[in-house]
Amino acid sequence: MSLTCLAVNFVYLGAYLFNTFPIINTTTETPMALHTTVCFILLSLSLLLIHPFGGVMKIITSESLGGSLARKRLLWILITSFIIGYLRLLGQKLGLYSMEFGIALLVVFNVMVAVVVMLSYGHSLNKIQSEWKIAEHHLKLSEQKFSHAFTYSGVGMALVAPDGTWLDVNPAVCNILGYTKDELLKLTFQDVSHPNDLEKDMEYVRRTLAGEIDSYQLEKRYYHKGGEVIWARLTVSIVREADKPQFFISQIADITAMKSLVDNLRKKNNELTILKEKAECAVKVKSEFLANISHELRTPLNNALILSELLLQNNSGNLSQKQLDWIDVINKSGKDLLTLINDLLDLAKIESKNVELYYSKTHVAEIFRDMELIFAGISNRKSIEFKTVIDPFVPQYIKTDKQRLGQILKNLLSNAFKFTPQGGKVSMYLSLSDVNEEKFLEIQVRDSGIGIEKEKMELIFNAFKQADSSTTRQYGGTGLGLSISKELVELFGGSISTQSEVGKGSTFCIKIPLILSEYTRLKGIENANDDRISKEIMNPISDSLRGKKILVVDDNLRNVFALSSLLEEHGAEILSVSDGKEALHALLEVKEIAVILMDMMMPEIDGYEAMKHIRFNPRYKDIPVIALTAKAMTGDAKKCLEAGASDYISKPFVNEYLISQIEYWINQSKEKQEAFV
Amino acid sequence: MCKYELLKNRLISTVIIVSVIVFTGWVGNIQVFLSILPGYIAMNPLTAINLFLLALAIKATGLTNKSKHVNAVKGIVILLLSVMAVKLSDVYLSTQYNLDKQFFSSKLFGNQMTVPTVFNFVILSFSLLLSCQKHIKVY
Repeated sequence: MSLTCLAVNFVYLGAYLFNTFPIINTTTETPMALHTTVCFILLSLSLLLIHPFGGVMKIITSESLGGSLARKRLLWILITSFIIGYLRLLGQKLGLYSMEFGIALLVVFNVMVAVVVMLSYGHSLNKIQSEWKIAEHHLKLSEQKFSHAFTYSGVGMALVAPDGTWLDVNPAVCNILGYTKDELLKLTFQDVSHPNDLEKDMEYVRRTLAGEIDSYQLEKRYYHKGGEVIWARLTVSIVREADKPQFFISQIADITAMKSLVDNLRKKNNELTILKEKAECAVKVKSEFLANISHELRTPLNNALILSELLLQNNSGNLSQKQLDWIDVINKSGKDLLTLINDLLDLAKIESKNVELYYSKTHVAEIFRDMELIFAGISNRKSIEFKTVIDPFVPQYIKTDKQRLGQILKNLLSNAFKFTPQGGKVSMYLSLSDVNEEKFLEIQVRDSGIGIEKEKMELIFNAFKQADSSTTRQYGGTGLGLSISKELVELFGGSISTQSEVGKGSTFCIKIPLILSEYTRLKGIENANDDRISKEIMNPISDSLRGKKILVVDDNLRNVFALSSLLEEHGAEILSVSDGKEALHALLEVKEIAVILMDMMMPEIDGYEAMKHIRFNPRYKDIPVIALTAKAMTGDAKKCLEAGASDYISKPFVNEYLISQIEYWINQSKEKQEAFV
Repeated sequence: MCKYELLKNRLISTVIIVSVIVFTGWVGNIQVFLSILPGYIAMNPLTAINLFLLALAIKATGLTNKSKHVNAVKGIVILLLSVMAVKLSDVYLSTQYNLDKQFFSSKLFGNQMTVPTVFNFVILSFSLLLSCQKHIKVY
């Protein structure tokens, strides 16, 4: 109806444009007004647009290619028709031709327009068809790809109807499930699913069909035709057409072998966990064993060494030279045994990665002072010139593990003194070096000893190796020192190197990363004005113990005897008690105790507990307590210092070192008292 | 709002504006408003009123409260059809109701609603009436 109205009004509009009212105006005297005609055209179009996507309007408003073509062509036809009609009338009015010729001309032009439109449509259709063919080709190719992927996929693929019937399966599915394709197409997936997994799968199917999810993945079990259970990873997606579920695309990957592997791995993992726990337990037992064996070996050795050294001094002068030689052999054997025990324990700890570094603020010069004290004796005995030099640019304080660094230096110096003949030279230099913009502490130990051949250089860092087996016989030693030193240096994050010339001597150089202490002053040791150090280095042993009361706290009578003998030789007055409780009583009864030498492992109140009690009382807080223990495991020193010890000395010790430490702490205590007064 | 809805509204608005201008022309006796272009035939006032009503009715079909507006559309369509019936009876049954000459009779000078106009209104009214019915598509 609207189209009829539209057509009629277009006629009227044409009549107005071409002034042809005589042709159409037969019923009324006055024609319809021009704007009335236009209004009717507009209203007709409005009516058509009430349902723009329905009826005939659908052809024009469609977003398809047809709609697009219709919109363009319709507009051109309307415009062209009006223009041709107008031109025909214009020619007729101008007398160019008669009305009959004009109508014929109009017909011819309209036919031409129709032909052009048809050709245009034909061209468009050809284009559409060629595009259609290309699309069809792509579709075929895509189908072929899918078909190939489906058929030759290593993973099982199947098309499954919403009710669970197999619509199509690829050969991989047949291989996995053991059925032929025809057999499977007569079954549903529910028929071959394990009942324990079916409920979960069906829940997913329900959710997928309901549109809650588009795909899902799960691990489930299927029954093989032969009855075996197969584990598979199932990936399912749904294909819908106009929102209606058509079929599922299922991918089935056989993971039975993987599952079995995972189960085995899990079992192995559990076994490994048990083994690890056992190993950890064994390591713990080993550590405890090492600690105990260390203690048990060191304690008697300590006594033997102290007393043998006292005998060697022959203060009473009643020992013959032969007896003194025997005692010397006993003393040296004891020292060798001690070195061997220490090295073996260290090696065991290093090999079991049981060595940890305990960094603390350390006075650099103090390490060197200790080395000078330790090696002063051998230096004197062998008349070896021992020199230590600290570069002025080395910080006064650094952060390091003093005990371990000392151990490395002791090993290197011990070798240097061992292989340097009488009258030779040993020196130790400390300086800073830069490696890749990182600061390192460089310590060089030089000697004028026998030297090492070039081809033996690498061997010397191996455990139980010396450059020449004859050196072992001549100079003794286990060959563990350098190996341990190398491991320790590497634990510090540093490196060790050596330069040597046979007959001229060797230089061992260690480089460890420099960690500055927060109180570090970048000043040389010469400027440190440390009287204590210089004094002690110049005069390591003195009789400053004369008249001093020293409390020895030890439950082992032999230890007490050995210690008392040593200290009495230096003029000290010895008070001895057998445990911490008695030590506390002794402190109450005896005044002016200069130093307490405290064993750690004792009955009743042990050394740690006793030191805590002593430090708790303000009266005794300034009395120096030196912890003496045969426990030389990692962390023992720290534990002693934390309990309140002023210092820590592990057994067995060098007699001179113990005496010097006692003197040092007595002086410290005296200085404090003087300062207080 | 889709582009076709927008186009429809613009077309309706044009018709409403034209009909209001024409009616204003009749009220104020402004000759230019009556014929829009000089020398052309003036639009009958009843035609202008009817065009205005028809445009409103078409506009009402696009409003959200369908049931309420459909009744209004139906009412307008029935009114229009009634007016057209009276006019046709004047033309073909020679009755003399002359509704198209009731408004501004002194100014009309023979201006009347033409028969094509009447048929246009009848067709468009029916078309509108049918387009309001559910499931019936009439174009």
